[in-house]
Amino acid sequence: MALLVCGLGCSAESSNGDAPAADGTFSSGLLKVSTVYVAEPVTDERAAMYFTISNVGDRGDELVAVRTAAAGRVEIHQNVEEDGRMMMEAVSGVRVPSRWTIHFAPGSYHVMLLELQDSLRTGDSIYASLQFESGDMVSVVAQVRPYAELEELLASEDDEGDS
Amino acid sequence: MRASDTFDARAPRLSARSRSVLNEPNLILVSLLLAAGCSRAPATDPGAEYRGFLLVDARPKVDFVLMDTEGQPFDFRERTDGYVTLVFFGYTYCPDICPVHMANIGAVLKEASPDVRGRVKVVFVTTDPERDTPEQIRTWLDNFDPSFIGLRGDMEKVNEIQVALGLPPAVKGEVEEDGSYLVGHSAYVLAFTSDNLAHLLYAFGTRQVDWASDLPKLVAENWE
Repeated sequence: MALLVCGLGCSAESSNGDAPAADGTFSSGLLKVSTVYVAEPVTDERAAMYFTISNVGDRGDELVAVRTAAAGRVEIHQNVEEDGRMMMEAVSGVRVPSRWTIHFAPGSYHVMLLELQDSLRTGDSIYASLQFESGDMVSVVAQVRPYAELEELLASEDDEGDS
Repeated sequence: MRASDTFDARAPRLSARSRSVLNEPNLILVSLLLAAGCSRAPATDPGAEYRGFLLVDARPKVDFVLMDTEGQPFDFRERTDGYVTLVFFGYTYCPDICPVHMANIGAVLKEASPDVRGRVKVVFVTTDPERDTPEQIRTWLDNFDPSFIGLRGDMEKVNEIQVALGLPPAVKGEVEEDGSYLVGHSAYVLAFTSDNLAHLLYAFGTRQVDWASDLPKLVAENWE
Protein backbone atom coordinates (compact mmCIF):
# COMPACT_ATOMS: atom_id res chain seq x y z
CA MET A 1 0.00 0.00 0.00
CA ALA A 2 2.98 2.27 0.24
CA LEU A 3 2.51 3.30 -3.35
CA LEU A 4 -0.85 4.77 -2.57
CA VAL A 5 0.51 7.31 -0.18
CA CYS A 6 2.47 9.73 -2.24
CA GLY A 7 3.28 12.57 0.06
CA LEU A 8 5.43 15.65 0.09
CA GLY A 9 8.58 13.64 0.21
CA CYS A 10 7.90 11.49 -2.78
CA SER A 11 8.95 12.25 -6.26
CA ALA A 12 6.23 12.59 -8.86
CA GLU A 13 7.76 10.03 -11.17
CA SER A 14 8.82 7.47 -8.63
CA SER A 15 5.59 5.58 -8.24
CA ASN A 16 5.05 4.44 -11.76
CA GLY A 17 6.96 4.11 -14.96
CA ASP A 18 5.72 7.24 -16.64
CA ALA A 19 7.61 10.42 -15.93
CA PRO A 20 5.62 13.66 -16.16
CA ALA A 21 5.85 15.19 -19.60
CA ALA A 22 7.43 18.58 -19.94
CA ASP A 23 4.04 20.12 -20.67
CA GLY A 24 2.68 19.28 -17.22
CA THR A 25 0.81 16.15 -18.24
CA PHE A 26 1.07 13.19 -15.90
CA SER A 27 0.11 9.74 -16.99
CA SER A 28 -0.12 6.12 -16.15
CA GLY A 29 -0.90 3.81 -18.99
CA LEU A 30 -3.90 5.16 -20.85
CA LEU A 31 -4.90 7.74 -18.24
CA LYS A 32 -3.54 11.23 -18.65
CA VAL A 33 -3.91 14.02 -16.11
CA SER A 34 -3.16 17.63 -17.01
CA THR A 35 -3.74 21.21 -15.84
CA VAL A 36 -3.33 20.27 -12.19
CA TYR A 37 -3.82 23.24 -9.89
CA VAL A 38 -4.68 24.01 -6.30
CA ALA A 39 -6.41 27.32 -5.66
CA GLU A 40 -4.42 29.28 -3.10
CA PRO A 41 -6.65 28.95 -0.06
CA VAL A 42 -8.07 32.16 1.30
CA THR A 43 -8.22 30.65 4.76
CA ASP A 44 -5.69 28.02 5.74
CA GLU A 45 -8.25 25.35 6.48
CA ARG A 46 -9.16 23.89 3.14
CA ALA A 47 -8.29 24.15 -0.51
CA ALA A 48 -9.73 23.04 -3.82
CA MET A 49 -7.79 21.11 -6.46
CA TYR A 50 -8.64 20.93 -10.14
CA PHE A 51 -7.34 18.90 -13.08
CA THR A 52 -8.34 17.34 -16.36
CA ILE A 53 -8.40 13.56 -16.80
CA SER A 54 -8.29 11.99 -20.24
CA ASN A 55 -8.88 8.31 -20.74
CA VAL A 56 -7.35 7.43 -24.10
CA GLY A 57 -7.99 3.72 -23.66
CA ASP A 58 -10.82 1.47 -24.74
CA ARG A 59 -12.03 0.70 -21.24
CA GLY A 60 -13.82 3.07 -18.92
CA ASP A 61 -12.34 3.73 -15.50
CA GLU A 62 -13.27 5.63 -12.38
CA LEU A 63 -11.34 8.02 -10.19
CA VAL A 64 -11.98 6.67 -6.71
CA ALA A 65 -9.57 8.56 -4.48
CA VAL A 66 -7.02 11.34 -4.38
CA ARG A 67 -4.25 11.18 -1.84
CA THR A 68 -1.82 13.81 -0.69
CA ALA A 69 0.26 14.35 2.40
CA ALA A 70 -0.67 18.04 2.18
CA ALA A 71 -4.12 17.35 3.61
CA GLY A 72 -5.38 15.33 6.54
CA ARG A 73 -8.48 14.40 4.57
CA VAL A 74 -9.35 14.48 0.89
CA GLU A 75 -12.80 14.31 -0.69
CA ILE A 76 -14.03 14.43 -4.26
CA HIS A 77 -16.93 16.88 -4.57
CA GLN A 78 -19.36 17.95 -7.17
CA ASN A 79 -21.64 20.95 -7.21
CA VAL A 80 -25.27 20.23 -7.69
CA GLU A 81 -27.92 22.81 -8.31
CA GLU A 82 -31.21 22.41 -6.55
CA ASP A 83 -34.00 24.95 -6.48
CA GLY A 84 -31.61 27.63 -7.66
CA ARG A 85 -29.08 26.82 -4.95
CA MET A 86 -25.62 25.42 -5.47
CA MET A 87 -24.60 22.77 -3.00
CA MET A 88 -21.41 20.77 -2.83
CA GLU A 89 -21.67 17.08 -2.19
CA ALA A 90 -19.06 14.38 -1.75
CA VAL A 91 -19.05 11.64 -4.38
CA SER A 92 -17.53 8.19 -4.12
CA GLY A 93 -15.94 8.43 -7.53
CA VAL A 94 -15.99 10.03 -10.93
CA ARG A 95 -16.42 7.88 -14.04
CA VAL A 96 -14.03 8.50 -16.89
CA PRO A 97 -15.48 6.63 -19.88
CA SER A 98 -13.15 5.38 -22.57
CA ARG A 99 -11.90 8.05 -24.95
CA TRP A 100 -13.39 10.72 -22.74
CA THR A 101 -12.10 13.77 -20.96
CA ILE A 102 -13.40 15.04 -17.65
CA HIS A 103 -12.64 18.60 -16.60
CA PHE A 104 -12.59 19.36 -12.91
CA ALA A 105 -13.43 23.05 -12.60
CA PRO A 106 -15.08 25.55 -10.25
CA GLY A 107 -18.81 24.95 -10.20
CA SER A 108 -18.32 21.33 -11.24
CA TYR A 109 -16.14 18.55 -9.89
CA HIS A 110 -13.31 19.48 -7.56
CA VAL A 111 -11.10 17.78 -5.02
CA MET A 112 -11.39 19.17 -1.52
CA LEU A 113 -8.23 19.17 0.52
CA LEU A 114 -9.31 19.33 4.14
CA GLU A 115 -7.24 19.71 7.30
CA LEU A 116 -4.36 21.32 5.43
CA GLN A 117 -1.06 20.39 7.01
CA ASP A 118 0.70 23.60 5.99
CA SER A 119 -0.32 26.92 4.55
CA LEU A 120 -0.26 26.82 0.77
CA ARG A 121 0.85 29.88 -1.13
CA THR A 122 1.08 30.76 -4.79
CA GLY A 123 4.33 29.33 -6.11
CA ASP A 124 4.16 26.25 -3.87
CA SER A 125 3.45 22.87 -5.32
CA ILE A 126 2.20 19.68 -3.75
CA TYR A 127 2.36 16.05 -4.71
CA ALA A 128 -0.78 14.02 -5.02
CA SER A 129 -1.83 10.71 -6.48
CA LEU A 130 -5.03 9.89 -8.29
CA GLN A 131 -6.22 6.38 -7.63
CA PHE A 132 -8.40 4.65 -10.21
CA GLU A 133 -10.75 1.71 -9.90
CA SER A 134 -8.63 -0.31 -12.35
CA GLY A 135 -5.71 -0.09 -9.95
CA ASP A 136 -3.95 2.51 -12.06
CA MET A 137 -2.49 5.41 -10.20
CA VAL A 138 -1.35 8.73 -11.60
CA SER A 139 1.09 10.78 -9.56
CA VAL A 140 0.84 14.49 -10.15
CA VAL A 141 2.39 17.74 -9.05
CA ALA A 142 -0.18 20.46 -8.42
CA GLN A 143 0.85 24.09 -8.56
CA VAL A 144 -0.74 26.51 -6.16
CA ARG A 145 -2.18 29.53 -7.98
CA PRO A 146 -4.58 32.36 -7.01
CA TYR A 147 -8.31 32.00 -7.60
CA ALA A 148 -8.27 34.91 -10.03
CA GLU A 149 -5.99 32.95 -12.39
CA LEU A 150 -8.04 29.76 -12.39
CA GLU A 151 -10.36 30.55 -15.25
CA GLU A 152 -7.42 31.13 -17.56
CA LEU A 153 -5.38 28.20 -16.28
CA LEU A 154 -8.25 25.76 -16.53
CA ALA A 155 -9.47 26.88 -19.94
CA SER A 156 -9.43 23.90 -22.25
CA GLU A 157 -7.16 23.93 -25.23
CA ASP A 158 -10.14 24.09 -27.54
CA ASP A 159 -11.05 27.36 -25.88
CA GLU A 160 -8.06 29.05 -27.43
CA GLY A 161 -8.98 31.92 -29.64
CA ASP A 162 -12.43 31.97 -28.15
CA SER A 163 -12.92 35.26 -26.45
CA MET B 1 -23.66 8.81 -16.34
CA ARG B 2 -25.66 11.87 -17.09
CA ALA B 3 -24.55 14.12 -19.88
CA SER B 4 -24.26 17.01 -17.47
CA ASP B 5 -21.55 15.16 -15.58
CA THR B 6 -19.17 15.95 -18.35
CA PHE B 7 -19.68 19.66 -18.44
CA ASP B 8 -16.64 21.74 -17.81
CA ALA B 9 -15.76 25.30 -16.99
CA ARG B 10 -16.79 26.39 -20.46
CA ALA B 11 -20.40 25.40 -20.29
CA PRO B 12 -21.73 28.11 -17.99
CA ARG B 13 -19.59 30.69 -19.66
CA LEU B 14 -21.13 30.24 -23.04
CA SER B 15 -24.52 31.00 -21.68
CA ALA B 16 -23.42 33.79 -19.40
CA ARG B 17 -21.98 35.49 -22.43
CA SER B 18 -25.13 35.94 -24.36
CA ARG B 19 -27.88 38.25 -23.44
CA SER B 20 -30.82 36.42 -22.06
CA VAL B 21 -34.10 37.98 -21.24
CA LEU B 22 -35.80 36.46 -18.28
CA ASN B 23 -39.08 37.13 -16.68
CA GLU B 24 -39.42 37.33 -12.94
CA PRO B 25 -37.14 35.26 -10.76
CA ASN B 26 -37.29 32.08 -12.62
CA LEU B 27 -34.16 30.45 -11.36
CA ILE B 28 -35.19 27.06 -12.57
CA LEU B 29 -35.36 28.46 -16.05
CA VAL B 30 -31.94 29.99 -15.58
CA SER B 31 -30.52 26.66 -14.57
CA LEU B 32 -32.17 24.95 -17.50
CA LEU B 33 -30.61 27.48 -19.79
CA LEU B 34 -27.28 26.89 -18.15
CA ALA B 35 -27.61 23.15 -18.39
CA ALA B 36 -28.53 23.37 -22.01
CA GLY B 37 -25.73 25.83 -22.67
CA CYS B 38 -28.09 27.93 -24.69
CA SER B 39 -30.11 31.05 -24.36
CA ARG B 40 -33.18 32.44 -25.97
CA ALA B 41 -31.41 35.65 -26.73
CA PRO B 42 -33.07 38.10 -29.01
CA ALA B 43 -30.55 40.20 -30.87
CA THR B 44 -30.58 43.70 -29.49
CA ASP B 45 -28.43 46.76 -29.86
CA PRO B 46 -24.97 45.21 -29.75
CA GLY B 47 -23.56 48.31 -28.09
CA ALA B 48 -25.86 47.76 -25.14
CA GLU B 49 -25.31 44.05 -24.95
CA TYR B 50 -24.76 42.69 -21.51
CA ARG B 51 -23.21 39.39 -20.67
CA GLY B 52 -25.28 38.92 -17.57
CA PHE B 53 -28.92 37.87 -17.62
CA LEU B 54 -31.17 40.83 -18.17
CA LEU B 55 -34.21 40.82 -15.90
CA VAL B 56 -37.30 42.03 -17.70
CA ASP B 57 -38.80 43.04 -14.39
CA ALA B 58 -36.05 44.87 -12.58
CA ARG B 59 -35.90 44.08 -8.88
CA PRO B 60 -36.08 46.91 -6.38
CA LYS B 61 -33.69 47.22 -3.47
CA VAL B 62 -34.76 45.83 -0.15
CA ASP B 63 -34.52 47.78 3.08
CA PHE B 64 -32.25 46.07 5.52
CA VAL B 65 -29.60 46.80 8.09
CA LEU B 66 -26.91 44.22 8.84
CA MET B 67 -23.62 44.47 10.72
CA ASP B 68 -20.49 45.21 8.73
CA THR B 69 -17.07 43.75 9.49
CA GLU B 70 -16.33 46.64 11.87
CA GLY B 71 -19.38 45.68 13.87
CA GLN B 72 -21.24 48.79 12.72
CA PRO B 73 -24.78 48.78 11.33
CA PHE B 74 -24.86 49.02 7.55
CA ASP B 75 -28.03 50.45 6.01
CA PHE B 76 -28.06 48.81 2.61
CA ARG B 77 -30.31 51.25 0.79
CA GLU B 78 -28.69 54.35 2.21
CA ARG B 79 -25.07 53.24 1.82
CA THR B 80 -25.38 51.91 -1.70
CA ASP B 81 -27.69 54.63 -3.02
CA GLY B 82 -26.83 55.48 -6.62
CA TYR B 83 -23.93 53.04 -6.87
CA VAL B 84 -23.61 50.04 -9.10
CA THR B 85 -23.94 47.47 -6.34
CA LEU B 86 -23.03 43.83 -6.80
CA VAL B 87 -24.66 41.69 -4.13
CA PHE B 88 -23.60 38.13 -3.43
CA PHE B 89 -24.68 35.73 -0.70
CA GLY B 90 -22.12 33.08 0.26
CA TYR B 91 -19.80 31.91 3.00
CA THR B 92 -16.08 31.95 3.60
CA TYR B 93 -15.74 28.18 4.10
CA CYS B 94 -16.97 27.79 0.54
CA PRO B 95 -13.89 26.77 -1.46
CA ASP B 96 -15.24 26.73 -4.98
CA ILE B 97 -18.04 29.05 -6.07
CA CYS B 98 -17.69 31.98 -3.66
CA PRO B 99 -13.96 32.71 -3.93
CA VAL B 100 -14.05 32.39 -7.71
CA HIS B 101 -16.85 34.97 -8.03
CA MET B 102 -15.15 37.33 -5.59
CA ALA B 103 -11.68 36.85 -7.09
CA ASN B 104 -12.94 37.47 -10.63
CA ILE B 105 -14.77 40.67 -9.66
CA GLY B 106 -11.77 41.80 -7.59
CA ALA B 107 -9.34 41.19 -10.43
CA VAL B 108 -11.46 43.15 -12.90
CA LEU B 109 -12.01 46.10 -10.54
CA LYS B 110 -8.26 46.26 -9.96
CA GLU B 111 -7.76 46.91 -13.66
CA ALA B 112 -10.82 49.13 -14.08
CA SER B 113 -10.59 52.87 -14.59
CA PRO B 114 -11.07 55.01 -11.46
CA ASP B 115 -14.35 56.23 -12.96
CA VAL B 116 -15.73 52.73 -12.96
CA ARG B 117 -14.10 51.57 -9.76
CA GLY B 118 -15.37 54.54 -7.81
CA ARG B 119 -18.95 53.84 -8.85
CA VAL B 120 -19.04 50.15 -7.94
CA LYS B 121 -19.69 48.65 -4.51
CA VAL B 122 -19.45 44.95 -3.83
CA VAL B 123 -21.55 43.63 -0.95
CA PHE B 124 -20.97 40.10 0.36
CA VAL B 125 -23.55 38.78 2.82
CA THR B 126 -22.66 35.63 4.74
CA THR B 127 -25.06 32.71 4.67
CA ASP B 128 -23.09 31.10 7.50
CA PRO B 129 -23.19 33.58 10.40
CA GLU B 130 -22.45 30.74 12.81
CA ARG B 131 -18.87 30.33 11.59
CA ASP B 132 -18.27 33.55 9.68
CA THR B 133 -17.11 36.01 12.31
CA PRO B 134 -16.65 39.64 11.26
CA GLU B 135 -12.86 39.09 11.40
CA GLN B 136 -13.09 35.97 9.27
CA ILE B 137 -15.19 37.77 6.66
CA ARG B 138 -12.80 40.73 6.62
CA THR B 139 -9.71 38.56 6.18
CA TRP B 140 -11.42 36.58 3.44
CA LEU B 141 -12.63 39.65 1.52
CA ASP B 142 -9.28 41.42 1.86
CA ASN B 143 -7.79 38.67 -0.27
CA PHE B 144 -9.92 39.82 -3.17
CA ASP B 145 -10.36 43.54 -2.55
CA PRO B 146 -10.20 45.40 0.76
CA SER B 147 -13.02 47.67 -0.39
CA PHE B 148 -15.51 44.79 -0.54
CA ILE B 149 -18.22 45.19 2.08
CA GLY B 150 -18.94 42.18 4.30
CA LEU B 151 -22.27 41.89 6.11
CA ARG B 152 -23.53 39.55 8.74
CA GLY B 153 -26.85 38.98 10.45
CA ASP B 154 -28.86 36.09 11.74
CA MET B 155 -29.68 33.40 9.23
CA GLU B 156 -33.41 33.98 9.32
CA LYS B 157 -33.04 37.64 8.50
CA VAL B 158 -30.48 36.98 5.75
CA ASN B 159 -32.81 34.43 4.20
CA GLU B 160 -35.71 36.88 4.30
CA ILE B 161 -33.53 39.36 2.43
CA GLN B 162 -32.62 36.79 -0.19
CA VAL B 163 -36.22 35.84 -0.77
CA ALA B 164 -37.20 39.51 -1.02
CA LEU B 165 -34.50 39.92 -3.66
CA GLY B 166 -35.84 36.97 -5.63
CA LEU B 167 -33.06 34.59 -4.62
CA PRO B 168 -33.57 31.23 -2.94
CA PRO B 169 -32.88 31.11 0.81
CA ALA B 170 -29.66 29.42 1.90
CA VAL B 171 -29.83 25.93 3.38
CA LYS B 172 -27.43 24.53 5.93
CA GLY B 173 -26.28 21.02 5.06
CA GLU B 174 -25.91 18.03 7.30
CA VAL B 175 -23.42 18.48 10.13
CA GLU B 176 -20.55 15.98 9.86
CA GLU B 177 -18.98 14.12 12.77
CA ASP B 178 -16.24 16.72 13.01
CA GLY B 179 -18.82 19.50 13.22
CA SER B 180 -18.23 20.76 9.69
CA TYR B 181 -21.06 21.42 7.28
CA LEU B 182 -21.73 22.93 3.91
CA VAL B 183 -24.23 25.61 3.00
CA GLY B 184 -26.29 25.55 -0.17
CA HIS B 185 -26.83 29.02 -1.54
CA SER B 186 -27.56 30.94 -4.70
CA ALA B 187 -24.62 31.22 -7.05
CA TYR B 188 -25.93 34.42 -8.65
CA VAL B 189 -24.57 37.91 -8.24
CA LEU B 190 -27.34 40.49 -8.37
CA ALA B 191 -26.35 43.81 -9.97
CA PHE B 192 -28.10 47.03 -8.95
CA THR B 193 -27.46 50.15 -10.97
CA SER B 194 -27.64 53.89 -10.27
CA ASP B 195 -31.44 53.78 -10.44
CA ASN B 196 -31.32 51.46 -7.39
CA LEU B 197 -32.88 48.63 -9.35
CA ALA B 198 -31.31 45.28 -10.19
CA HIS B 199 -31.56 44.78 -13.93
CA LEU B 200 -29.01 42.01 -14.24
CA LEU B 201 -28.15 38.68 -12.72
CA TYR B 202 -24.73 37.07 -13.11
CA ALA B 203 -24.53 33.32 -13.01
CA PHE B 204 -21.59 31.32 -11.80
CA GLY B 205 -19.27 30.97 -14.75
CA THR B 206 -19.22 34.70 -15.45
CA ARG B 207 -15.66 35.28 -16.55
CA GLN B 208 -13.37 38.23 -15.96
CA VAL B 209 -13.82 39.30 -19.59
CA ASP B 210 -17.57 39.36 -18.98
CA TRP B 211 -17.25 41.57 -15.90
CA ALA B 212 -14.74 43.79 -17.71
CA SER B 213 -17.24 44.19 -20.51
CA ASP B 214 -20.30 44.78 -18.32
CA LEU B 215 -19.09 46.90 -15.40
CA PRO B 216 -18.43 50.07 -17.45
CA LYS B 217 -21.81 49.62 -19.14
CA LEU B 218 -23.53 49.19 -15.78
CA VAL B 219 -21.87 52.39 -14.55
CA ALA B 220 -22.86 54.34 -17.68
CA GLU B 221 -26.38 52.96 -18.02
CA ASN B 222 -29.34 55.08 -16.97
CA TRP B 223 -32.08 52.66 -18.08
CA GLU B 224 -34.16 55.31 -19.68
